[in-house]
Amino acid sequence: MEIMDEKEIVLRAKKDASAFEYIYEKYFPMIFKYVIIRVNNRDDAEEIVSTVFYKALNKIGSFRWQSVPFSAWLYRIAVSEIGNHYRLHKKSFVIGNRLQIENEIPVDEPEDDNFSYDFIHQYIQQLPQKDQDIITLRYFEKKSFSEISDILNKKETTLRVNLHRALNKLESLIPKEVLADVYRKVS
Amino acid sequence: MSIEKYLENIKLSDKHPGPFSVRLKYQLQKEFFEKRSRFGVFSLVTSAAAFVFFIMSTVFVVNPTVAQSIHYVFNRNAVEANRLENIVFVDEGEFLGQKSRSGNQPNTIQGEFFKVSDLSNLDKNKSYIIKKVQGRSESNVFYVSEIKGQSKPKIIY
Repeated sequence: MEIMDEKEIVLRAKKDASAFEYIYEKYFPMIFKYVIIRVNNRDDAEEIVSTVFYKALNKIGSFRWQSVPFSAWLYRIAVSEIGNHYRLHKKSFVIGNRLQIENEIPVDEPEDDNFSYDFIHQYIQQLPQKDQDIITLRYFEKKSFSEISDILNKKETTLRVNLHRALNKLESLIPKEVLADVYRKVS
Repeated sequence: MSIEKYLENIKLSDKHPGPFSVRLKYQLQKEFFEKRSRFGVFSLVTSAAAFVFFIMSTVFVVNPTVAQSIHYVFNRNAVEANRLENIVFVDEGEFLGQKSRSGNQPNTIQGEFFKVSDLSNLDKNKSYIIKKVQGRSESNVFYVSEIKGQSKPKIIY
């Protein structure tokens, strides 16, 4: 399987169970990580990731290698499904209500609580969906602008402007004293 | 210090999917590959049956005797009935003159037909209706029925 061209594997994945398994093992972790960071809730993440892979397998025949990488194609489906999820469920997030993820072991120390994802997520989730997408992909998924461009189907220059505006909005949402505290700790 | 630097220092909790990964993979395999496998077998059987039906229909149209032969395989009695239907009267003569088109036999004909290959074995003092049969594999086979109550010996071909 290792020596096979990934393009061929992806094309075979719709009919060949072993090819599908290779694709799944390779891309599931990154898609799951992205979704759970975005929604910060395990049950919602599992529901969305399930839908992403069901749709991906259904539409894999329509995937074209000429346009975007396969991973970007999966991310696009995930981004779309997260948007659908919030629209359908009309989620209302309470600021300050930190969502605990079941069976999750926090790695951050108590004194660094302001640097935990749960803390910053309460502010990120108040941003528009497109801003959440850019910030998540850029800072938590560590994607390049080129990769984000493939995923969100936007020009890199546009993305840089959008990211700048999204960061300004986020900064305005976080209380000044909290920002001052975290800036002091980082520096 | 900027918000960017802050975000880069955010520590993500362990986002391991746990058993969900295996569970979803199993569900996807069951949904997409086992169902497709069952559908594939069903479509293959259906296609094969349709192909055989098409071939048989074509053969029956081109050569109907094939259908007749198959019929004989399953119904041996039909062979004999077919031979009687193929009876050819060499000389219809008096007998056909008495036979009605409705199929009723003359009163004088009472006996059953029996197969004879050599007419010289017949009793010269009796009257017979002799039917020449043109079978597929046999030739010059005669089916003979004695005409009872016929005083004058007579052979009708």
